[in-house]
Amino acid sequence: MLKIDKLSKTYKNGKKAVDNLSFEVAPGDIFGFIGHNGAGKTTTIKCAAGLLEFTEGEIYIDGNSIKTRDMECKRLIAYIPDNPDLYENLTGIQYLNFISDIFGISKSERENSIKKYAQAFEITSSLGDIIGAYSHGMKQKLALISAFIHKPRLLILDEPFVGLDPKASHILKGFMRELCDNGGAIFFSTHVLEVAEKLCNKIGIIKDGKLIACGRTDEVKGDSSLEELFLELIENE
Amino acid sequence: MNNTVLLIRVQLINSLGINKLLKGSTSKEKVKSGLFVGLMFFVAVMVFIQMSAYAWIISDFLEKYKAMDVLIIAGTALSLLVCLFMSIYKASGYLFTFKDFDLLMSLPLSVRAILAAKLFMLAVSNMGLSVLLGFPYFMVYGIRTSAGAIFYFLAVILLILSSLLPLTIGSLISLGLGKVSGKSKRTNLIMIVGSFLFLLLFMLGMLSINSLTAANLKDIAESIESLKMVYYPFGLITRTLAGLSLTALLLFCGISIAVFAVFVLLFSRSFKATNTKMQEKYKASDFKMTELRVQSIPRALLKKELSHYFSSYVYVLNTGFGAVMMLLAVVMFIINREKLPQMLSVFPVKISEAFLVTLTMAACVSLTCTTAPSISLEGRKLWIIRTLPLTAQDIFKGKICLNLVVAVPVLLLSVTVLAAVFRLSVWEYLLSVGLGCAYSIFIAVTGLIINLHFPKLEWTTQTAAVKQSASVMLAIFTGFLSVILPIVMLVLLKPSDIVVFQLLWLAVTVIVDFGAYRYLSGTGAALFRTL
Repeated sequence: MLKIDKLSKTYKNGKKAVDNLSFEVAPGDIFGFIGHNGAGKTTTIKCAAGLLEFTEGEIYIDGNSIKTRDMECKRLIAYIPDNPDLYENLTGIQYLNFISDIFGISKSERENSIKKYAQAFEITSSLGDIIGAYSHGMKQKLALISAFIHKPRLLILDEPFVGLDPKASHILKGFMRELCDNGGAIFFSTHVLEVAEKLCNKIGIIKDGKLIACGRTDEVKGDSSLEELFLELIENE
Repeated sequence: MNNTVLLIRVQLINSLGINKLLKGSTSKEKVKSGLFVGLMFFVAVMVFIQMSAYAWIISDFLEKYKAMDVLIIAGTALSLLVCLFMSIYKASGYLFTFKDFDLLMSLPLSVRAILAAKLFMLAVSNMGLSVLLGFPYFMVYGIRTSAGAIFYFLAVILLILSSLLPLTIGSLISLGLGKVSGKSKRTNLIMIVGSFLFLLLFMLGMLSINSLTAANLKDIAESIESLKMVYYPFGLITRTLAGLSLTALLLFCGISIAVFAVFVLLFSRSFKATNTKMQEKYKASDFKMTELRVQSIPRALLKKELSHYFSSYVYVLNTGFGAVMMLLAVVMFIINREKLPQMLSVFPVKISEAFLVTLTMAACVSLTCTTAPSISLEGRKLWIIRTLPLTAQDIFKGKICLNLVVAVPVLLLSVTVLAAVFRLSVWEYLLSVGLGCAYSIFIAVTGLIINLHFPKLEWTTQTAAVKQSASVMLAIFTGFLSVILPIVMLVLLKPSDIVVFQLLWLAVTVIVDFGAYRYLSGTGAALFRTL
């Protein structure tokens, strides 16, 4: 579903944020992307979402190059940044309707989807309020609903659990599994290692722009916990 | 260092983007910043020259009637009105709903220190324009009366201090508007309508200054006395500058500082409560799912642009100005209908009433540019449209359509009314509407191109993206040039048939529209992808 091939990204100041990164996320995978602050996670995610142009390498989404067939790629993905700034002056329902219009979702389908996800995240009663009046967690929930309603094949999430209460986090994990059970794939970054350990079937650990470990979660961590492995790799590399 | 001074220092560094200019930016960005500063300086010099020339022409009349004091009144009134308007317009962002409220209130700083720093920033932001517009009048008075250095020294002190009273009044009006609107769901609508009303009052004030200085010279003495009655400090300013009275100066300074100090003292007591109240957003939390409307992508994009536009007070106030000017122009045309043939005879080339209507409408349309800050306004929300399956052209069309929706209905209404008043032929009517529409497309496309070249995506308040960005200044300048050029061509070519000239003008504008749109679709789209 997502193939990152020898990806490198150098910023204007000469700093190489991502260096020769290669890995794949297959349909049904929940891929956790782990690394310390400034390791290159967000840069990689933004490149995969088509937000950043990269220096070298290729990114394919369902076989389409993000460089040359970006529209096809964008129809297949949903992306949520770490701090979702939304249109503060639209109401929640206006925003969801806008996203539905762009993806051409039918009337009945959008109504059912919005009902389903808004009820699950418990924000139905607030959908008529402007987004500017939402708390951080509510904005996060709204952004997640907007990502789920068009049934993306690939969900790209940057720190999706930040700002969510425990119940919402639990619900999100359920929806993530549901999407993957239906043939979708998820590529997300997180600092919460326990979540990654329990939720992801694949993980990648990035340090200073380079992938230092990648593969099936149980194979990568072996007998130790993910936290122990992460700290060991970060210290030793 | 005193806390207030510390705060002012930090705010100046932050709002002027000094660090970005000196340390963070690349050489390309430095060139852009340099160009922006250069452009601002050029515009300031042009305004100063224009105001000085205007004041000089008025002084010729005033000398005959030995009423040179009127220059001081006119300069002060202009400066005060500008300061009052800017304060009403900006106070909300500086004093009541500023982004760093939580940060500052959590620090061990007194409310008075925070308020003083915010008021200082507001005063500084007003002062430039206030001095730029008022000082030429004082300067011409000084030259005409051969005043000494002490006169200029006093003039500068007075201009700086005179901003305190309108700043206080403006802040109070803004506070009142905010309190009224804060209780309603339609906060922005009330703020927009209220501010446009004050804007119209401001324009009427400006017009009355013009009529006072140029037209009704016989009534000058009476007018001055009535102005002094309405606004007591006028008398003190006149006595200080014309009579070099130290008592009047001290009295004026005393009144200004006292009123300002009382405002700071009283407002500091309710500062926290007022800000808390005004930062609250209307929440109903009673939404129930009903039927949703399905729309096409272009309609959805236009709807999103419209919702964003009309919910942003700063955006509407700055870019809807041209549409308000169109309506004001219609009123002025109707009032001065009888004098129009005489006014037209002043032009070096013979022009018709229809041409004047077309020119005025084109000028007003060129002031209505919603696109110049539209990319910048996406700010940190840019990820939404960048990750959606939309082409850059789709996004551009939505933004261009917004400009047309704001300008064209007002244009149609204005030209239709004026066509009825001046009995324009169908051809003249169509030419006026056609040129207005072509100008609206031109300014919308050009505004987008400029914004793509000079985006300002990192901002904390929308004011920074709408008012303090190079793209908006350049778009205003481009609009101004697009109106000046045909006038220059008209004077140079002296066409025998004004309708043919208008047709050529329309044809050239349409060709430029196509060229600009082609550039936007190609280079503009490429620029958009790199944002």
